Amino acid sequence: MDEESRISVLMKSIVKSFPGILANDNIDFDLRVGEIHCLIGENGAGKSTLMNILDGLYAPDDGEIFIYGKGVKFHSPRDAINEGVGMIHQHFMLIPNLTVIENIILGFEGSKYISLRKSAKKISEFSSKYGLKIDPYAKVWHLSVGEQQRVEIIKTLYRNAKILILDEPTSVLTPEEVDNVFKILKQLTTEGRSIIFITHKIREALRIGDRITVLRKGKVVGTIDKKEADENVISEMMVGKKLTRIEVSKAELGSKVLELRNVYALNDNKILALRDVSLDVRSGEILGVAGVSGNGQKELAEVIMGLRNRTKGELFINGTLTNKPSPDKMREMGVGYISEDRLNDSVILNFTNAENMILDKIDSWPYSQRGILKINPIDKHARELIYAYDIQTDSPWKPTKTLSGGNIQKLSISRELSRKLKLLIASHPTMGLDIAATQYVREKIVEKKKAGCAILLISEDLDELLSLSDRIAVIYEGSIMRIFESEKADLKEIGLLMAGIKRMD
Amino acid sequence: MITTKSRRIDLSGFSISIFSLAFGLFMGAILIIIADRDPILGYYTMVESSLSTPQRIGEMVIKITPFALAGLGIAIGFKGGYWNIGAEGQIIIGALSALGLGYFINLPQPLHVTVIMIVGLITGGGWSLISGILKAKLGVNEVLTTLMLNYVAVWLSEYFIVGPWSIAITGETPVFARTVAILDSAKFPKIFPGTRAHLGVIMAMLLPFVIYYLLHRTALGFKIRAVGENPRAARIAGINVSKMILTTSFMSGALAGLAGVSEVLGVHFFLERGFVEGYGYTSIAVATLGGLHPIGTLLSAIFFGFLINGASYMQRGINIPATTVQVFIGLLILSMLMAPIFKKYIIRLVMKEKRTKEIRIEQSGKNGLSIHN
Repeated sequence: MDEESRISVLMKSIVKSFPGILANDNIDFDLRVGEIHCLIGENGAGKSTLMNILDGLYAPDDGEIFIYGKGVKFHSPRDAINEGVGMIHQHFMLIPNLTVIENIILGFEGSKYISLRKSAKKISEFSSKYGLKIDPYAKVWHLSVGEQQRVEIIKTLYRNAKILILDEPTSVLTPEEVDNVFKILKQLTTEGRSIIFITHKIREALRIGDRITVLRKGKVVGTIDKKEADENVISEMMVGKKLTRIEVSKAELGSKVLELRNVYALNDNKILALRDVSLDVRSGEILGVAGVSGNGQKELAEVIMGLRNRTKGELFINGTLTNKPSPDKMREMGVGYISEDRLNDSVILNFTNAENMILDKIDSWPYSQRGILKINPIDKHARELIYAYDIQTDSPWKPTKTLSGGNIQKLSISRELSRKLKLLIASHPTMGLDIAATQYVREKIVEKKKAGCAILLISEDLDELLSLSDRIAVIYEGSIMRIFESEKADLKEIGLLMAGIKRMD
Repeated sequence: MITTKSRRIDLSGFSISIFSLAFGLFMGAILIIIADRDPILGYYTMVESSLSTPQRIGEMVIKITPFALAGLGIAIGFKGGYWNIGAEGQIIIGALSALGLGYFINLPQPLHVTVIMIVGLITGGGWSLISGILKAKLGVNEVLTTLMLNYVAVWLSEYFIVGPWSIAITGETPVFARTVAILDSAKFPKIFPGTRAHLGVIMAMLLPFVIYYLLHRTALGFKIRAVGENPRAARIAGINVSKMILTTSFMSGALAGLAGVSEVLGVHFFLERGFVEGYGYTSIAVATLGGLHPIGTLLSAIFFGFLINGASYMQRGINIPATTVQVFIGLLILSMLMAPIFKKYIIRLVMKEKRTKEIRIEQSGKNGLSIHN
């Protein structure tokens, strides 16, 4: 084979700008036939933009695209699929009320008459060939997230995609499911398909990628072979500076700050969301809560914060039973809360940044005195946090709604961590943050721990949980499956427990 | 390029208001022409008569006062997420308490007036607090309860007007149903000789600034606004939301109650049927037009007061029916309230024009310069 035919995708000096930002700045990218090429970078590095251009969702401002050596111009994803390019988006594009078959053939019926049986046969072929187990006649809403992703993969294969783009495919999966997907992807490449794998997890890129291209601020930093790559090299390329590993020393454990005994609670749909939850967190300790989202983590945080009533059980803060907890009482007792829904729970979009940063401290010195706001300390506090957390804004006195999502998150986290805390409930504190901000937030959390704060860390990022927590509790369908000492934690077992499988021993 | 674009489109609220006013006056002119009268003369009469003598200016500010006070109460309520539709009832309750205290107790004037004002604030606020408690504790929609309490207040005043406080108790035979008049010691002092302008006018002009300070420079105001904007985030941040609802509802009603006090002590001195004339409802429009901003509400009250006052001069000046004048007032207020719609529409027009221009520029520059640097 000559050089030309071994390249399936060639993107040359791609430029794409959005109002105010240059998302792709002269990007060159190539994909070889039969390889898995990882595209890695922080949030806003331009990965998704580049791939949306390849998928025909966006038109580039400038640059050329060649598929198997042929120059192409896509006006829609349909154009892209006709040339064999298919994308599996982070948020699945499936219709829950339709069956698997209906979803797969939707928009690709071929003729006016639909033969479900023929389609089902074709789907089953794919299923058995690649181990993509699926019932073609099942309704999509019955399926787990992992199964839905399989439907998405089959959908692209059904459309004869030779080039697959996967946008952060593992973010919603359990470790077990991730293994499975990786196996399938490997098999697809052996048949000459090429895959672009977008991720921001370095370990994942190292595991699955043949080559890794790092993007930063809309530019290609470099493309390296798997053999030459290691974690440090890539993270350095991503952030532009060396990362310091967080040193989590075993802090002195103090008294129990938070204790839950046999707590039950309902979710918004009045369905039991917490079942018999018992756990405790001591001062100076980080208790990680691992689980696939939607297994009661949100309700757990809300029960502790006094935002949700518990139907049964007891809740102790600093050893005292709280009968009617409410957020204001909890805050008085030194509880901080980083909610997972920062846009609705943490900030008031029409308030200014400075105002949002004192939302929880409005009655305390030095921000107000005898009920009168003190503008200078408020301004100073805001400027300090904006500087420390690198929040991108022109002014502390700009409305928070003008900030980007990531910066709103930084703002709300900065506020919670700037309090004097005895207990911190941190729900996905680094979700959606870039590496530098993630690192900073983690350091701050460890700092709080060292200062004797008890921390309940809810996260889906197992790396984060393992590196920060002293103990890890696995939650599944509202029950605590097991609590591990961090050093003794077995990733495989955590994964199984997260999927609801209890090992018989 | 992007920044200049957004700056160009940013039409200030002021120019939009002027546009809305002009549009309203244009529609009003059509109405007057249909009524076979001269609109120019009508508008001239309206302005000239309102401002010709100090006495007439005094009449105008008297008209402005209840709108300014009740509008302010509504604005603070709406700001705090308490949708107070009950200013009408709160004005009545304030007025009733003013009348009762103004007739049945006897104190030296400064003290008498002060006591009545304080009690008026409390009764008006208390009337609104009923809805506040129902909202904060039981989650009952305040729009319904404040509105319903208006009817209760109206019939309560009816009871006092024809019953225990009727002029009949002095032995006089009433020509129409009215109450006794308050004592002289209870009356507001006049502030400008030769006019009827009274103490309430000063309060109406000053309180907006006090309330502005309260909302934007105090912790209490901060919390009121926080609860109004996003009660969930406020609650999570540790703000006691039900306490804030109670506070807001009380303050909102208290200011409306003060409007009632001011009408009794400053203008009417006694009560008759329908004495509130729907001020409470009009004040909702006053607050809305003022953008719920205390100072904006004051300006809006001045507009309403001038309009309603001036329209009566116009009616007499060019001799058109009172009903036509009512339609005219309605048209003008409607036009002012449509300002946000005008704004959106004009922006869209401007954008469209800009876009076609840009496309033209882009097309002509395609072969030459790159547009990205």
